[in-house]
Amino acid sequence: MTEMSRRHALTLFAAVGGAAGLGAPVRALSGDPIYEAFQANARNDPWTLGVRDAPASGFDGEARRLHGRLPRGLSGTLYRNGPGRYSRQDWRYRHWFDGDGFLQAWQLDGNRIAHRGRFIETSKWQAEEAAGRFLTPAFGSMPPDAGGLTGPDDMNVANTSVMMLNGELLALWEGGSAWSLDADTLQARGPRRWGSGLDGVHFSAHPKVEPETDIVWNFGQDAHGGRLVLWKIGPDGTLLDAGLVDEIGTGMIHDFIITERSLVFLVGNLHHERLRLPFLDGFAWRGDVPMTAIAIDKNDWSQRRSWDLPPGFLFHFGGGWEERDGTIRLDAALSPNADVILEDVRDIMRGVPWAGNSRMQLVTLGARGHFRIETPGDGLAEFPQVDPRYTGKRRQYTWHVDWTPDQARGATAIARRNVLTGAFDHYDHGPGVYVEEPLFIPASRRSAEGEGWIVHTALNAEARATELHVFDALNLSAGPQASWRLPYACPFGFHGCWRG
Amino acid sequence: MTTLTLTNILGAAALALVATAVAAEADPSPNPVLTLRVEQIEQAQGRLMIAVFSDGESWSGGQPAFTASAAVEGSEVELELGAVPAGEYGVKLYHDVDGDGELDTNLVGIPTEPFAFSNSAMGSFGPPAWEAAAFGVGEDNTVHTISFR
Repeated sequence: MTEMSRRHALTLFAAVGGAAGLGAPVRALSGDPIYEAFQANARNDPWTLGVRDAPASGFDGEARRLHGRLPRGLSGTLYRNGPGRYSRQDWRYRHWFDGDGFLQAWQLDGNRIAHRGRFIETSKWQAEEAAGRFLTPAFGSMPPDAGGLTGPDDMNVANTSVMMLNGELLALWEGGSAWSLDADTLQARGPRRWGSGLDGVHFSAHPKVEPETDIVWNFGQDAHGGRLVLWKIGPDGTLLDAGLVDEIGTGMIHDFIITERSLVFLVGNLHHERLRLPFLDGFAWRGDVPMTAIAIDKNDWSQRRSWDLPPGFLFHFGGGWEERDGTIRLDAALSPNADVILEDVRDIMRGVPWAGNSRMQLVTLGARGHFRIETPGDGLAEFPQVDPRYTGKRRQYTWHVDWTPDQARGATAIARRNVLTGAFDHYDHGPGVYVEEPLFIPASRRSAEGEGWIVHTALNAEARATELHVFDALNLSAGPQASWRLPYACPFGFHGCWRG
Repeated sequence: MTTLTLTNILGAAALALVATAVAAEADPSPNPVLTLRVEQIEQAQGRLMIAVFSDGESWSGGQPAFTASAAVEGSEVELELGAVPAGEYGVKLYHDVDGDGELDTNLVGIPTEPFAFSNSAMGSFGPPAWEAAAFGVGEDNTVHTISFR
């Protein structure tokens, strides 16, 4: 959080009665200060529409065309997932990542866009809907009178990402199971079962699909045990392999990359130190140790290479590849600290905007153990995306949301960076249009890298509505080819996928 | 995010004791009879594996006072554990759905068969505290009910 926004936060906070109770479980009887702070800030700042509770029954609507036409060939469904329910009984979660998964389906059909939003009917959602209150501990919050846990899926909110696997829609979290959904009705089928001994095992939210084989690689992190679960899944959704890899360290890992030979992890400096609830409170920043890069051989999980890097923290990679001599090149949205997860996203729950501090950085992991880190631009960046046909391969482009540190409410622009040449292409929607993950959709199976569209959603705060914008992915600066607006505002999401 | 490892959630060593029958010997003394009633069992198969503790020290990793088991043929089981001295007790039990005599766990060690504790108390990364799970048996016969959530 920048100094400016921190002051802003303190000012707002003072206005609603001081810092008592921040982050601690508070009985709703006396009024929840976080809930009340949010209500107060929500009255003045339409940006808070993005972190408001969605209606329990969801959304059904049609977007209105603002300008342009859908490009020929762009027909399908954009699924997006993210937290959508933060409060019950006037008590509000302390952490953005705690909210119940809310799935949106934007159906692009001819020149119509239909929109649906549904809560993902996890076990937790169903039990809490029935009870009318929060029942379980959350990742970063302890609701009043929260019960215990029989396993991580008791608190699984399935709120982070979404993927298509052989016609099945999977809502992804990372502390437990993927949640299986009907891709048409959006109805939940329950936790995805992969096979004996794998029920409830951690399945992270950023699986990677090998372009040639359509094999899906994923991992899960047992931070307490300092180990990873590795997953290898066939294109038909059957498990090919799963196993444990030990001695990974305890730094939080959210994403990874694959290359043709390796599975590559950056183990950042937010370390798990003890088991406690809320779970996030068991983590602490350790700046006295390196961030480590670990490359595990895809074909022999006992083989690895590792590099010691300067301390850091990240959620997301763009992509990466491996050269013939074993050098790995990757790009990631890296931060110098973990303020974003420890502080900024807590501020969001009070309705206080966040600035963030992640920048796209190019990391070279040399074949002989050396490394290089370059920061190609000045701007802040998050939600990097690549052309999925180039996953694990040498490529040119990363698309991401883009903003500057003085933009306290986050990104209003999307950008494309050429990781080989540094060339930069950029479009800023202007103040009050808060952009979400730009997803790349190839024009055709055979088109060149980047030939296709960027589709992204955004909260237009002034219009109090969520929009969808379509760009020529290789010419962002020309502005959107077509834009659409819903008659309502949806909660901000995290990640999405495309079903053509 | 990452993981929640429910390490050794039941005190697996204690429950690995495969109980065959009511361990408390038939007792002619006027001790009260403790009966366990277990509700909301999801699958009508396998066995309930039960460990009974009589103090907080043994509850936290020690040996149970006695163990028992019972076949599951419906959604409820009522099992007479026999006459016990008046005092405080705590119960750890799991539903051995596949009947292999073990609490099944997944790849990272989290139980995949249902388990529960007396007072239907719940823990988070292990059994609940003794204080949450302990119940009293007085001079009269006692039926204690445990519900799988």
